[in-house]
Amino acid sequence: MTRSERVFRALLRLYPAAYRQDYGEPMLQLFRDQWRDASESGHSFSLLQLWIQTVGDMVTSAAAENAAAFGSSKMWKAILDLRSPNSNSRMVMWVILAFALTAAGVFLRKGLLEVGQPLWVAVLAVVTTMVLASVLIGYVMEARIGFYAAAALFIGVQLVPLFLVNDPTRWFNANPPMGWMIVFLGLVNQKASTRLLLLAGVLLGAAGVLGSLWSALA
Amino acid sequence: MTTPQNDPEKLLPLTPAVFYILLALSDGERHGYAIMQQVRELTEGKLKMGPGTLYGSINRMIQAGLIEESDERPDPKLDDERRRYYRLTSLGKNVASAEANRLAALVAVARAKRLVSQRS
Repeated sequence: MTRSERVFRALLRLYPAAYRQDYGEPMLQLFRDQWRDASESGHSFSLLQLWIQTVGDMVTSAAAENAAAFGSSKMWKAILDLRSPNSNSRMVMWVILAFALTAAGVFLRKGLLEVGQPLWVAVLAVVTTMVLASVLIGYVMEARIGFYAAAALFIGVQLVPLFLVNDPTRWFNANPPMGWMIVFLGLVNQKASTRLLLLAGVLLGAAGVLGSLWSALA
Repeated sequence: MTTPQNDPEKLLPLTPAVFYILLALSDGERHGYAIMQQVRELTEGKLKMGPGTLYGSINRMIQAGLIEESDERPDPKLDDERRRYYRLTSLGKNVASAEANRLAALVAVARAKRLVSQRS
């Protein structure tokens, strides 16, 4: 095998494995034919031109084939399925998210309240909660009322730890627009324990399951 | 229910690469490199397909039922028997014909509006 063929074979790795298995050898054969013709032309420029065209063609077509492979993959189908109001996988996702959010909430509270926890733990917990909540809201926008109700509960309870961090009056004074939420939630309790939050999480998970079932059966 | 099998127009319009591959195979079966050379000849070198574009198109055309891999292999003395040969299916012929008719109708409209330059 020539060096050019080795390079071409390396470029084939840009393509999805299944595609490579089907068309890798015919593509290599075709490149051999092109290389032979370009070599026989006697112009070194022809070989350079062939490489430029081949690399450009392979990069763009590999991107297209990878996109097509992802589009027909089980993972992508599952993601699309999640957006179907009556999908089972969506129901599972809701249950998973319920517990993930609850875990994040517990983590958040522990991270912020326990003495000696490094700041990055708290920051990570907040970011985790926000990302999960964002994902949740994204799906809720397409969801039926059962999902919406469950999501509202999830997010509501996840906000609780934020108000358990410190003296809520200080929060209220420092950030008046947030004050209404503190009053609305009625869950301000500096002495709330992790166990209480876990209990809230379990209730929340149950709400999520019921909401999902309601939506699936509706 | 209409399917591409009974209504080839469902697959129109074709991309230039797909249409030229169908045209290249309309004379008979060919392997990848022969298709590429035929397309280059038909387009006077204006459409250059690399290995990725060619086999990507072939892959999609096989999936759509426009072409199929030929089971017959040439005499190894005449050609490399590892080469894969492709040929048109009946659907492929119908789709090529429908696309040609579509383009002919389009050109007729352009000609009526005097947008087609007369070659001497």
